[in-house]
Amino acid sequence: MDWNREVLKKYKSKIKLAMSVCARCGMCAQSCFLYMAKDKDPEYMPSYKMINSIGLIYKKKGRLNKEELEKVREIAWEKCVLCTRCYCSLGIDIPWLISLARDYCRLNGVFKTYD
Amino acid sequence: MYELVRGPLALVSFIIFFLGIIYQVVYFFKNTTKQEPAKIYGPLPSKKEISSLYPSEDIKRLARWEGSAWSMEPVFTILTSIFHILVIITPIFLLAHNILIQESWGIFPPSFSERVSDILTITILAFGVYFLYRRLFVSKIKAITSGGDFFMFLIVFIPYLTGFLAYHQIFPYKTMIIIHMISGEIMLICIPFSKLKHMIFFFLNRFFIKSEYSFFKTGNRVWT
Repeated sequence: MDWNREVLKKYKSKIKLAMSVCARCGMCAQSCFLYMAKDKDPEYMPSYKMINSIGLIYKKKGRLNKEELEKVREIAWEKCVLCTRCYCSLGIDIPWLISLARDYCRLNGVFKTYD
Repeated sequence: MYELVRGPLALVSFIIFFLGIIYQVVYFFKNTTKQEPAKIYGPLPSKKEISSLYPSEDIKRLARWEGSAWSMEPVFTILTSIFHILVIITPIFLLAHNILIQESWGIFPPSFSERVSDILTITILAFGVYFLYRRLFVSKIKAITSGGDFFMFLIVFIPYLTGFLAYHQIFPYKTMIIIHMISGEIMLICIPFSKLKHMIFFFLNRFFIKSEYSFFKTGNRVWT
């Protein structure tokens, strides 16, 4: 399946909407246990992870270079465990969007390795 | 110039604003679907079995509270709530705006006194400075801020600032009031079509989307 053509096309308007509804308020930060455990490192904020994973994929129309792909992989697996506990005051479904970023990574041959 | 900005341009911006809201509401309902209740096959578990499987309502309520912004960032939540309420009510109940409505349509909506409106405007401007400070200096906000966020800040901040300056006649009144009206009209047009659309989607998402945090548990729609 061509992710760009199939998935990105299917969810394009919803990803776009989520990106434009996000007011960059930062209220989601403390709801992420990883953010709290990593000394409040902004890179663990749910909104940061959303913007820099699926947001980046959307912005680049699915054409990511190797470096960017690796960054998205790191966010989607190493920085988010999809516990679905993040809180968005505007009601954006952040875990669903990050799971889409995981889909994108898998279909581009990048995923979590356990070695 | 004044007549153009006060008349046709104001009307156009209000029409775009309301049509934009209708468009976004229709968009929301077209892009979401009502979630059907899960199909259960086989014998249903007894009430006792269910209660042993799922957390109690008290635990769920506690988890919702603990996970919400009210519990995690109470000060900012209160401040931002006050700011958003003020941003909406101040221009609606502003005496000068309502005098214009009376001149045009002959109805005079309830208004705050000029002193109250002035205090509310100063409060809004102070909040604006506080939000700008967050964007520039608080690391978590800085990390997710882009140029567009500053642009949106200006779109909202300028109408209130120019309104304040015009009322106090700090700069030439005529110029200031025209800038105030144009910037207000730009803000109205921007609301449904820019980041400010969170004004609409805050209510749609929190009332209609099925989520742990949906208001009054009314949400029964899903995006997927």
